[in-house]
Amino acid sequence: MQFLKVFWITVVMLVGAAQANAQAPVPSTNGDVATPKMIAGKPYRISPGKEPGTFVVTWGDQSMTWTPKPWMEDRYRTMGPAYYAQWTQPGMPAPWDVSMDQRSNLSGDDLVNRCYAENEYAPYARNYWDSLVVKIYRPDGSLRGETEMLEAYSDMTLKKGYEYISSADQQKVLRKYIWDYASPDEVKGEGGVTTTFVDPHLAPQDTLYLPSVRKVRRLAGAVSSQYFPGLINRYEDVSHTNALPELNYKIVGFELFNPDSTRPQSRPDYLPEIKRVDGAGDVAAIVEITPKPGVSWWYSKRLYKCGLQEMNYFYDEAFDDNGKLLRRTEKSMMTGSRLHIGSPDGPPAPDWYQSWGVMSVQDFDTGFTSDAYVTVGGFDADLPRAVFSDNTLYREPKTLEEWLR
Amino acid sequence: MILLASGSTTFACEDSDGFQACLSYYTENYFRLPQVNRTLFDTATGTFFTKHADGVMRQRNELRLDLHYAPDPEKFTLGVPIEFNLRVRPYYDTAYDLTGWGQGQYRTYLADDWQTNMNGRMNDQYDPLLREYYVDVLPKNFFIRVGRQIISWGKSDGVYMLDILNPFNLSNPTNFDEQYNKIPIWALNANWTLTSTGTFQFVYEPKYLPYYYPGLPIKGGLPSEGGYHDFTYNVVALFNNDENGEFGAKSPVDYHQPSIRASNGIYAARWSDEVANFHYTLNYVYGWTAFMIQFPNTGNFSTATSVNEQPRRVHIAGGSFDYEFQDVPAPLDGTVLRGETALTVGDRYYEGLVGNPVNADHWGLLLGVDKYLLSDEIARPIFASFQYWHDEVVNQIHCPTCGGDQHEFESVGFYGSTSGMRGAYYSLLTMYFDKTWGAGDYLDTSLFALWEFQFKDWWIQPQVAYVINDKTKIAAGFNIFAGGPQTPYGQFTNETNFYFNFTRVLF
Repeated sequence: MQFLKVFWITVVMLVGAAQANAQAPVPSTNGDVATPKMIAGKPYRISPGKEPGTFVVTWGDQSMTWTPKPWMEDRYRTMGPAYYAQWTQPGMPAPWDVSMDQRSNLSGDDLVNRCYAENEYAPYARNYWDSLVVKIYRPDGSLRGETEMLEAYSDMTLKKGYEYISSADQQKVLRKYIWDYASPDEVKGEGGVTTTFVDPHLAPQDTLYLPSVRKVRRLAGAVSSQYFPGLINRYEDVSHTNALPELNYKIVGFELFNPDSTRPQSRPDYLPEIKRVDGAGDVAAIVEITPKPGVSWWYSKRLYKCGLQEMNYFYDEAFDDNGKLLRRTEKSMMTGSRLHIGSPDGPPAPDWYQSWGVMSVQDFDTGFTSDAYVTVGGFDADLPRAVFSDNTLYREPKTLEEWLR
Repeated sequence: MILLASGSTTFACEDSDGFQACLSYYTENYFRLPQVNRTLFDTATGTFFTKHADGVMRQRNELRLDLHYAPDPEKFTLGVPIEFNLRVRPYYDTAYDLTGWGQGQYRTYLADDWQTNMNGRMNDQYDPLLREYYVDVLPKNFFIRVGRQIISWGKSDGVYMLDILNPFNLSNPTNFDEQYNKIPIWALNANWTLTSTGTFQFVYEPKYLPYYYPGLPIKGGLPSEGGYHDFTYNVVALFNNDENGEFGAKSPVDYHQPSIRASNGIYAARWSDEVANFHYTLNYVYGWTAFMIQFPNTGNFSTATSVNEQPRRVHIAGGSFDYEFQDVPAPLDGTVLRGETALTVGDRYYEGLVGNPVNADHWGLLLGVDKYLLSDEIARPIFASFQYWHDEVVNQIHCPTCGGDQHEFESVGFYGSTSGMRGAYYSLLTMYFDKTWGAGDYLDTSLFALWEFQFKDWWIQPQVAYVINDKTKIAAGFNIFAGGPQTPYGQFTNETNFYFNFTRVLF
């Protein structure tokens, strides 16, 4: 009996150690990691600014003054752009598994895959999930509609999400995403699943569940450029966030990212309760995205900015054939301290975990704008293996807790 | 605490401690466009009379109360999550109060069955006040729903070969909102996810409910509605008039639904899975005929003195699939092909001009194609869907007593002549286009069209819907029917209508 007791204790400890290791493969030593001295071939430096709490960031011949805002996450507001250094450590998982000196050499599509798709789908975790709100505003600034949505993601890059796909699909399926609208009444219960494939030539596939008929329908064709149901975002902004087969991606430059302080999204009172990290003071790779020859897309050119330290996309502008600005998107991220492990009231995730936090869209064609933001999010919920299936949609989950069952 | 804060942002509903209550008001109003007279059989006088049809067809006013309770995890029994749902749908159709107009002219015959579900006379069968009530039990990798519910199967729109677990209420066959046209059934609905994509489903329905349609109700042993309801099928009116004495003697009807016994239950199973880009289901049902079948007491309507109305057992086996063409040349690229097929064994069709019910084994096939049109040219492309469907009787039928045109079957538009009969093979085509407009997709336009190859009749429904705000939506459209007077859709030519509906969320 004594032997059995020791044996089981050993097994439990080993399993526990393995799980702990699976959740945190790198130390969460933010604050202790030195800021890179060189980024994209130019010297990078952060020093205290004249005003308390501010920092002056210089990169090559560019400089900016980083100013704390009420909506910034606590550690970020305290540390300033030095906070980003935690994502430059060696040994980080994807999307940070490239050394700092090599990140500026990544191709445009690789950067988009890392800065948006992997960043959003969190391959270092078994799953990411959240509840979010999308507000759409008329051109006069009045609220037109407000939608509450539930999401879950899983990424197979590091095999963490293999439990959610069949063994036959392990070499074929790269990502799974499922969503469901919790309100308003007009769309409540509507949902869908996106499947992204390993083969980069294959467009993602989508299904749509309609409560009016209680059926899941296969969506016709690649819908990446189409509007997500009921939003002014497109599938390209929500779940088709990988480099798409219809588009070319090219790096056209780098800049010290300095958000325009005159824009609403930079104001201190802009969504102050949604604590986030905006990428200010990092060096951004600028990726030019254009449709491949013969492809018609909703823009002719899109300039997409990706922070090289945190590997997160935080700004883009889309233009038409004449160079007219069609749309501007600003995006901030949430980091582990604002997110949870296991359940909505679970412990905070390691600081280096990321999720999208706030996404603001200005559509200059229509004058409409939208703000989308995470209200609660986290990783590694104990989701059923068939979570990305029709049955989840058929249940029409109404809250995040139900979503995660 | 964070979860509760999150739950409170469910804007339209009231949330508290896992409870959610939502209430909305819905009305749908239908107005006949052709100004015509209708000739109907009067059961009191035993004669036909002609009266102006008038315009008001339907003015349904409905409250939609949804109650949902998801207990906290610590309240779970044995750690298994459970959720409770109740959908209450009290309604009142004011058309029957306008006694000088439209359907209100026949209030005496119709109001009992169609005006409201709050009068206690509906036997809770086809438009229940407590519409759905079920418990979801969610052990890991299981989804078990027990209670009165809707279970949808198949990959087709508006054609029902596998999607037959719920009968339909056909009082308004023009409304596509299946969650309100389907009659919820009491069922144990157990789903076991054996793999990440493969699910086995078992369904047990203890009580058989038939399709419910205008003209079906029997009172005092005879059909009580004749053909008064605007959407009474010709064949129903014909049978009703006959039974009510059109040809002299009345034929009493003994209406008999199967009792609740294990041996009378409906048993169904489905396997659904994906193989790469191919999604499929395999389905089987041991059930009953969708409609109650009228059997003449002598075996022959020519000599019958009474009628037994009851269903028969059927076996239905089939499957469905969808497949998206990818990485292939345009215009095939991005096209979804979907299909559904079912073999129904033991069904009953009414054969020949006499219309005696005969055993009919029939094979249904649906092929659908979905594609977004003009996706390169416009920001919000047009969703287009085309469906071909056929039904073919596959067994040999010998019915020497069925009268002229044997081996043809009375269709729903049949009213005594061969133009209302279908052959062993019967097919139709549907088209559906949908386009949203402007930021947020608040304006939606759609066009539905149906064409029947053999009957050459059609139905068109254009509709415009607009979301005024998060709590208010309106929609308006037309149902336009055309074709021969004994064809399935042509029979409703004089029911061509304008309609509008309105939804307002109260909380």
